[in-house]
Order: sequence, then C-alpha cells, then structure tokens
Amino acid sequence: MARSSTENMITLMSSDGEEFMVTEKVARECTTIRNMLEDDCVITNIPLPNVTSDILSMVIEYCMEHVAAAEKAAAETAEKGSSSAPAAAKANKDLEEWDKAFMNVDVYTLCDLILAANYLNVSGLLDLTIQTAANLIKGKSPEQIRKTFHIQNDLSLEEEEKIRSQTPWAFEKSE
Amino acid sequence: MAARKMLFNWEDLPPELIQSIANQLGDLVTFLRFRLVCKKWRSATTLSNPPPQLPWLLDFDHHNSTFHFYSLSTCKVHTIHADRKIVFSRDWMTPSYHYIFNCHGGPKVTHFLFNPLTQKRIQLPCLNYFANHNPFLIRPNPIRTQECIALMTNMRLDSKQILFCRPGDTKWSIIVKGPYGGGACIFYKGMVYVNMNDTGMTKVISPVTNSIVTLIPSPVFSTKGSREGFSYFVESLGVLLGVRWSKGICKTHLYGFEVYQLLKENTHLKWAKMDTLGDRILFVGSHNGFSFSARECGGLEGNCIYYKALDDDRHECLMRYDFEKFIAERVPCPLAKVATWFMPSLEESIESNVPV
Repeated sequence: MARSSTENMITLMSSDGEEFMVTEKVARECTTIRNMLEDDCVITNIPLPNVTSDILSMVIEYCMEHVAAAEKAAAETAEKGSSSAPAAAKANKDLEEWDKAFMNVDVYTLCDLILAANYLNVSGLLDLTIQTAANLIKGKSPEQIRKTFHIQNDLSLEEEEKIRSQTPWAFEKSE
Repeated sequence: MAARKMLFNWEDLPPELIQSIANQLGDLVTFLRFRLVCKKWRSATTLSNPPPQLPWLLDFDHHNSTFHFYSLSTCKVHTIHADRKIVFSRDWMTPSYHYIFNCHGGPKVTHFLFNPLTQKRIQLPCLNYFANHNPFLIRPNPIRTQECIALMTNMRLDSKQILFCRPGDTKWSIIVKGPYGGGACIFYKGMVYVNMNDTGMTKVISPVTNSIVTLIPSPVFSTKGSREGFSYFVESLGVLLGVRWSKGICKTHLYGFEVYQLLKENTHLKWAKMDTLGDRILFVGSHNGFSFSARECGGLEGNCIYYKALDDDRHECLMRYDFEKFIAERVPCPLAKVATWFMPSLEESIESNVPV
C-alpha cells in the first residue's frame, strides 16, 4: 500500500517472541490495542503474551482484510458520491466468502482464535469464530460434539442418565 | 516450535465465551445437547437463559396422546408423550407464550395453561357457565411480567366479551362487554388493546380501572382487508404492531399482509404503515403472533411473516409471506397438521424465574 509509508507502524510481539509490523489502522481493529494507543500515543511496541505467533498472524490477516474492505468501500463512496447498493452488497458478500474460507481451520486453531479475538477484543472476529463453533455443534448429539471438540466426558454415568431422563425427547434420534 | 502448542482446550474456555457460543445455538434441543457435553459447559449456562430461538410448531395427536414439535431452525420433529390423565383438545390449543391453553371438558369446565415440556400446569379460574364448542381464544401475553396470565374472548353471539386474569386470581374479570367481533387483542405494557371489528378503532383499556384510556383511530387502509381492522397484534422490539390481511397486494395469492406500527405523535397514538419489517420475522396464527430478530435467532431470513393456511386440497399448511417481494410460498413442514406456534421453554415457574 502506497500510504503505508506515511502511516504509523506498530510492532506486535507474540508470546513466542515473533514480531509483526502492522499499520496503526490495522492494529486499531483490536479494541484492546486501540485503548492502549489512546492511553499512550507514543507506544510502538506491544507485547502480547497471551497470543502465539501462528494465531497472531491469523488475527492480523483478518484485520488487514477487513480494513482493506472498509477502505475500498469508503473510496468508492467518495468517488461516486454515494455507494451503489448492488456494489456494496457484492462487497459484503465477497467479505463473507472470505470470512468463510478463513474459518476453514481445525478445532484447536478455532479455540485459540476465539481466545485471541476475545483477548484482543476484535468483535468481528469474535462473532465469526463463536458462530463457527456454534455451527459445528448444531445437529450433533452430545457424543458427536465431544468427539468434534476433543472433550472428555466428565459427567458420571448416573449424572448423565439423570439429565437425559429429564428431557428424553431432546436426546432421542429425531425424525 | 513446542511453544506454539495451544494452551487451552474447549472445556477450558472462560464461562462467558461458552455462554456466547450457547447463545448462537438457536434451538432448545441443540442447547440441551450442548449442556450435556461436559460439566464446565453445563455450569456456564442455565436453563433459564436459553439461546434466542424461533417458535416451534406444535401438533397434538389424540390417538397416541402425543405432542409433536417441529423446529424451523433445525428442521427436526420432536415427540413428547402427554400424561394420559390430562385430556387435551386440539381445537382449544392456543399458545400463551411458554404455555398452551387448554381445558377439561365434563360437567364443570376448567381451563388451564400447560407447558408440555415440563408438564407444568397452571390452573385458571373456573367459569360459571358451560362453554360450548371452541368459544375461547387466549392471547399471547408476556406472562413473565406477572401482570396478566390469560386474556380470553368469549365469542358466543349472546356474550361477546373479553376476560382477563392475573396470577392467583380466583375469578375472571370482564374487560370488554358488548360488541367486539373478535379482532386483534393483546395485553401490552399494562394495558389491553382491543381492535374493534366494526370501526377498525383500537380501544386501550386499563385492566385496573376497567375503563377506556385511549381510542386509537383506524388508519386509512388503501386496500381491502379480510376485516375492517387488524387481525393480529404482535409485540415486537418494544413496539406494538398491527397485522392485517390485505387483498390485492400479494402477487401469488389473494391475500397478503400489511403491517402498521403504533407510534406516539405528540400526545396522540397513531398507526403508521411499515414498508419493511427489517430484520423481523413474524409468526401469526389463531389471533396471536410472535416477533423475532432473524439475525439473533439465526437460520431464517428476516422481513417476512409465517402463517398457517389451507392449501388447494383444504389441508393445513405452513406459508411464508415475503414482505419485500410480495409473494407467498409454501414452507415444507412434516407435521400432519399445524395446530399452533409454541415458544419452547423449560422454565418451570412463571411466578419466579427459578431454573429447573
């Protein structure tokens, strides 16, 4: 990007010591970082001890894509005076498609992304990852959910039986 | 690098994030299955705080004494066996939010609200006259407000009236006496709103003083309706909607829908026509309705109305009216008949919010 040279650059450091240079605009997509920058505007190096480098690079990728999409939409609006509805709808759809492809990750990565999105307070990414997790749960039995998410069943046989017997219809194989 | 190995597992997510996931599940059955996965997921969620969800369709099978529920979100049918000691009448089954209204026949007619999921029954006051075939309708009420648990109309020709009762009441209070005609009626923000079939006017009646507080004039309708005023009142996102069947606006069927919202202009209340329902999905039937946010409940598109109708063979079917395209289309539904909408809830008590 041509303008990036004039923009403030911020260095984000992952828990495993890797450094990522991003524009301030991209960094500001993370509300946690935005608040830090607003408290102390000369800050240029931010350690993120809760986020590993592979997850942080994904969060940055997400933020960059969304910043670029917003900039493109703003540029189009400025050019034509108002954004045309079909073009805006297409741009939205493209971004949705991108999000969908971005969510093609294993459940461990998804879990880490939820935690990172929550910690960095990237509301769009948090909604996306939470929704993806919910979609993985829908239509499954408790056993299938445990298998999908690699969760150990820590309920005793008696406890599980008791819960099932309260609403047996919810656990029957439905039509 | 070993350090890159994730530190957390799904069961170790903070409770608020587990709750966030649960909030997106969109259906009670999915939520119950979710809660059986592990102890942490279970303790992070409560039955009294289920995810936002759409109503289920309910039908009752007399021969087998079973309730069938169909979820539009999951496209699944669930079956619950009813207590055979309770006699249910399908004709009388109209929803009152988490409860359905029903009655015991016999020499002394008793009415009750019943939650088929918890088998919880709330006795309603007795009526001192015998109710003949199907004269009563109950309106959906925000029963958690504890101000009103049942509102019903007796539409027998000799006594058109609206009756009202609160939790713990031993008898019904008569709110409207005289001509009424069975238009839309709802308990909303402490008042009873009754749409008069003859004039299209809406009476706002205080159940405390039993007097008319306001009269809302009928809007000037541009199309012919199936009746003078509104067929349904629906509470939606803090406003009251008046829903009306209108002739000539639907491109595919004889009738479509028009929706008006109640607005306050200076000190006056007036109905304003809505060009779009936005994110709303309305569900109407048996003189009542529910409104939901498509985005919150997930799965279905907004700006539409779901309703029950008869197909060409006079079979009950489920229809969807698209508010944007002005078309009505049939929605697949595996239930043999469509009795009513029902808001599934396992909340046991309406008197308190104690979870099961």
